[in-house]
Amino acid sequence: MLSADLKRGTLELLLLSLLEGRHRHGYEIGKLLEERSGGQVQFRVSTLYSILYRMEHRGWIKGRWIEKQGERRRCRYSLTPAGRAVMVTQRQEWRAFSDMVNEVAGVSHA
Amino acid sequence: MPESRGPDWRRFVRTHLRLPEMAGHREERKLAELADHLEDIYRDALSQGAGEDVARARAERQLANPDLATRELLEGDPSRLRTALHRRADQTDATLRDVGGWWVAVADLLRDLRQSLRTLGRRPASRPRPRS
Repeated sequence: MLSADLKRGTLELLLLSLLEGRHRHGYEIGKLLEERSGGQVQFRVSTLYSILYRMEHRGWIKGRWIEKQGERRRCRYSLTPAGRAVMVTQRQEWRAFSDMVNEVAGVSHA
Repeated sequence: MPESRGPDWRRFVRTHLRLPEMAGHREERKLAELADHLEDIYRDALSQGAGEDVARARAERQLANPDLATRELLEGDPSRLRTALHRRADQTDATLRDVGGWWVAVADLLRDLRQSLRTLGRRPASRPRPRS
């Protein structure tokens, strides 16, 4: 499992990226994160929603109740233009940071 | 829409989380979202072959620490916290005015103070000017 500090610093970017191009409900988001991280990222329900609510409060994502055929009505989150801009910036920062760590720590030469 | 015949997750969430400060439609939304989430965990566990007791326990474990869960949810929604603080301030204001006498002047003073803080909070942060 990843350390809590490392997770905390990247969670927003991970959540924003999962909402790129489509809207998803909270359970779907949590499950995708768990699957795509190979089980490294898992949330309690209250932790996941507290992050989603905080991001919504900042105007990065928007939750709306949507009913799809054959499914029950769910609150689904989507990226706002502000959230997309934050995601792009955070991606650039993450890339620069990981390049720097690889270079300094010699990961790429190992 | 598929009907759920499992536990009443909305009731479970409502009885386990202490959300007295989250009145209004946002509380309803949170309850509904959390209940939906637990319902999904429960259904997934059943579909993976777990027994009903195991599936229920898996979902209920999400709120094993209700105090922590409540705190996290309140922290994630600052607008609710602000409203709760306002509500407390309004209660204090009403109590002071009910007592009457000099306490009304104190209530006026506190109201002015709140107004000033609110105004300050709305002002854009001032930046130090570069020296030429």
